[in-house]
Amino acid sequence: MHSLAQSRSTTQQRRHQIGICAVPLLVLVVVLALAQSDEESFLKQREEMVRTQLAGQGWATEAVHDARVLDAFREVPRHRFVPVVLVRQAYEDHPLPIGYGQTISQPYIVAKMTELVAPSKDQRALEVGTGSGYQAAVLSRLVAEVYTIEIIEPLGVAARDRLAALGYRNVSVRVGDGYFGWKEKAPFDCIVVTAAANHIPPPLIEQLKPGGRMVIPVGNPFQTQQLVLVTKGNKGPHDLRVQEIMPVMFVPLVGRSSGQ
Amino acid sequence: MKCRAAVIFLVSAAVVAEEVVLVRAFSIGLWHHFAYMVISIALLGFGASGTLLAVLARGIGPFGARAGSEGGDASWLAASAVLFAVTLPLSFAFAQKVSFEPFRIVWERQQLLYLSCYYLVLFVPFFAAASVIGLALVTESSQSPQLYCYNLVGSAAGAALAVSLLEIAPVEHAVLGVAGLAQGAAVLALLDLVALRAAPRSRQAATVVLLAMVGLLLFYATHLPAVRISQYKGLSYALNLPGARLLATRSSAIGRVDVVASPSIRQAPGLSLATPPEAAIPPQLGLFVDAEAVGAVTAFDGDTGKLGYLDWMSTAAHQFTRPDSPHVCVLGAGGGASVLLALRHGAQRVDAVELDANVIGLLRETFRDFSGAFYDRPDVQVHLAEGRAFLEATPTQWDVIDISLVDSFAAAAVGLGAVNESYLYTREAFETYLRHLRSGGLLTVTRWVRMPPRDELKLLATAIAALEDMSLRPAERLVLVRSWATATLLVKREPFTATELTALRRWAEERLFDVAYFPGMAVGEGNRFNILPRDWYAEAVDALLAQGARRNRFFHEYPFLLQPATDDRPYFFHFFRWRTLPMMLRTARLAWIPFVEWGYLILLATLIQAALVSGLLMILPLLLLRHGTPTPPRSGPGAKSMVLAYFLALGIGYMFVEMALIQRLVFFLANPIYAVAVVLAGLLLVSGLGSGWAARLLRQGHSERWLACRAALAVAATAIVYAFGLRAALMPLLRWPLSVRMTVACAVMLPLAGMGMLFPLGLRHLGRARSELLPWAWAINGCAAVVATSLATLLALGAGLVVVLVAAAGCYLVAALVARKWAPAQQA
Repeated sequence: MHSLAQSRSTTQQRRHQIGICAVPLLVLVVVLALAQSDEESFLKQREEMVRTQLAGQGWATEAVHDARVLDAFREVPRHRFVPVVLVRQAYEDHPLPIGYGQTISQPYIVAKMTELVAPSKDQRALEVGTGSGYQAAVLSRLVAEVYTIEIIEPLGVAARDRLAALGYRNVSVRVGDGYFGWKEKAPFDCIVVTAAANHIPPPLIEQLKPGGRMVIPVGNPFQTQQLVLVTKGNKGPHDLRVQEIMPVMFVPLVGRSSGQ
Repeated sequence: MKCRAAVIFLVSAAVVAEEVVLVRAFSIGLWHHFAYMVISIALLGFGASGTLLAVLARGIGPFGARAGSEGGDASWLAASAVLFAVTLPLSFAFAQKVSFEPFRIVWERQQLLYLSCYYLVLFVPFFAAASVIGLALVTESSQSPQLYCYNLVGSAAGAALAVSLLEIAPVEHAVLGVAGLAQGAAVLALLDLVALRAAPRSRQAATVVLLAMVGLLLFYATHLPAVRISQYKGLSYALNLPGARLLATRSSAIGRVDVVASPSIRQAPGLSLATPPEAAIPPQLGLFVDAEAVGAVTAFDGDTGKLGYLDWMSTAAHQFTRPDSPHVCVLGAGGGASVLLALRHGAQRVDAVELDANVIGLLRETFRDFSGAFYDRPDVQVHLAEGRAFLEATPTQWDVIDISLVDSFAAAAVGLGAVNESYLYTREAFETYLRHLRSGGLLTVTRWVRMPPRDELKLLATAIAALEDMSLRPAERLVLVRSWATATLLVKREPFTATELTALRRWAEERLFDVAYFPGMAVGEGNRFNILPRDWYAEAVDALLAQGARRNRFFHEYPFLLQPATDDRPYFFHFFRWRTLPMMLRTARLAWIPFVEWGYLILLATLIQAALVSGLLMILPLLLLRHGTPTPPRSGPGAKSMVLAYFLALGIGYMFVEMALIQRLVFFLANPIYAVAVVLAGLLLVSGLGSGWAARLLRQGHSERWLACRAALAVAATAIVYAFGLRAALMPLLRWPLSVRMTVACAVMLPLAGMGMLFPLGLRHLGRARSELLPWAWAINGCAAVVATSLATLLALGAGLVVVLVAAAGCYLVAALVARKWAPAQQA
């Protein structure tokens, strides 16, 4: 009798325990399911972003052609690089504020800059201005090693943690002044400067490999008016070529004026 | 009456002073275009107060028709004055808590909410002030000329006071002074009320209110809110840099100057990619005006050999000629980069012209040792003046006149300067510069490059127009050097020689700069190092140098306005074309960014929102009045349209004249702050005197109709004469001392005294004829003035100042025509 009662009570206890465990388990399942559906939704948004904003040629913008670059954009979860309150806007066609007067550039600009430096798997890339870490994450899918420097400490530390948490193992983040580049890891095959500057830092030119490419935006955090692409030749330190690239095609507008 | 006049005087002074102070605060925290956008809505408080007056009229009967109700009016007047005194400092403090970021407005709806918060917060004090003035004028419409005189003279005092306050104190402290004025007005209004009502309870209530106000002011004085600066302004960014320290801040009516130290500050716009390591940038301090980067203070120990980096920027392009011991004039000297460049190249004498005394003061005092006291060297002469005016006033000639990057990149990049006048870059200015060059001398002008190209092409078009005016062939006298970031235009009076051109091309090639144009250049030569998808510069130069139809077609078809600015339309920064708007709207957000000219679009938005709100504010009192009071049988159906036409014409006409005069006199007084202060205060004062004179003439038996017609015609005639003759008349006087020029400026305004007569005469007439419409008239005038401010700027940008003045004359003619129809039977 005693043992029966004991066994009943044990069964009840077990049921109770199972019940106690079941609630959080259920919550976990629901959360996971929601997260899964969220992730699926983000995946769709990412695909849509690549299809409409990057790969599709707009009325006045030239499409991003490099399939590897487009794949990298399909892979990198942009919504993990924006402030929590802006997650819903992560895949929209505009820049987003990340604090300290900085932004995460709009997808098209990040993609165009990435495509311009023509990254490949065996290369080493330097990024000046880590910001949220998004550009570095994209680059990490395309090159062997990414070295990125952020001047604003809180942004740099947050980006380092974020990139580590997301498993981007080939990205090294340093907090400091990007003006002097990353001498110990130089030279670089490609350099991406993400913030506009009044001049191109000479140390960065030095740390660019012959044949290397560097891209710099011109404008303010919300308006990239022009991209400057510097290509270094093999004929010495001054064998440099600067190409001024407009993210928007100006030609249709001036075509008529020159009679062309 | 005396007490009420004093209240009007103080409230008027405080409200104008507050407006000036707010513009300054917004210029520091955001950008001043947003200031006008926000303040225009706040000023619609004047229009809105018409609605309040209509409500009051509905409750207690038409103002002009009743007597003995001063007690009720006095309560409202006192309540409004107290509301003004209390909300003025509070609204300033709350406005600094609003985290509005204009750049994000395109895709963040909450920014619209923040913008509305500004409107709401700043609207209240203006509404309260307008109610005080409106109540006083409308309730005593028979006395309106005298009261309006106090209103205008008070406003004049407010304008002068605000500028004086801002000269000596930061904007946060200036608000305190203005709040003091408002409190003075509230105290007088309370005394007036207590005198009218002998009840001890009202005395006690007044004492409580008074104590509360004083307490609030004391609390405010001890907790002064600092101006909130947008995180996207250069100063905020610099202060985020590692080791950043704010070393000094100075403030004046021209602007706030900040100096920031950080090892990461390096200013070398468009530094060549081929800069050798020995030409490293020395330590620098960041220089900020109104929180935007305008250059740097460079460490200098007297050894110009350490300033090698200066030779590796396009701003040094003129150094290829290296005349022996040149005399150099630097316009907009600022942090002194161009002065140091001249010293490095052995200038015998440098004339450094700078408008902002605080910039010079900081370099001469606080950063004297850091900057090597170069402004105190015997070979450097500092002139505190506006560049163009300095040259107009002197017969001296130089070997080099240097105008380099006088505005910040940030402001230039987004086209915020669009609606600002600048007499530095007009066709006439270029002629002046060329006349001040010695034989073989060079004019060098550098601006930031923007893509698609616009600034540098307009500079080129302006130089070509100036050379053609001087009957000189432009093709032989121009050179345009560009890096990816900056473009430098070189202009000579004599043709460039072959030797010079060879030296210049070698100089540019060493630095990987392109010579986008030089006499005799071959196709493709200007697009070698900084490669554009197409050589737009060559195409533009070709078209601009070709005269006649080809040039005109280019001007017509280019997506930006490139026609040279003139002294009549001094809007160099106005590039916006309506033709590009559909394209911008049709394409993705990204596409319109390089084309958007924020300044113009914000002005347009300001006008549209002001017009919409004004429309509402003008209809509201009419609706209230229609339902509240019966229409007197004596008035005809056209009476309302006459009231509308008269007060609308006055509101628009006044602002058009004021705006046009400010623009004309900015050039004549050679200082934007003096011009605004003198014109604003002067015109208000003269109008106030006119109003007082009208009261006197009425007492002498002249009729309202007689006076109004003559005053309106006199103003219209003056506006026409000024439209076509003022500039020519003032030009020869430019060399006179400032004090004399200020006196002349005041004399110029005297014939416009009639402007101050028309409004009170209209009120007085209406008070007799249709007193129930008085609140409506007040609303119309208030709204018209706000709409007219943006409209005047748009008109000046599109058609020039002459048209603005002619339009003003038209408005006054309309007023004269309406006044002519005033029935003589309704006169005194």
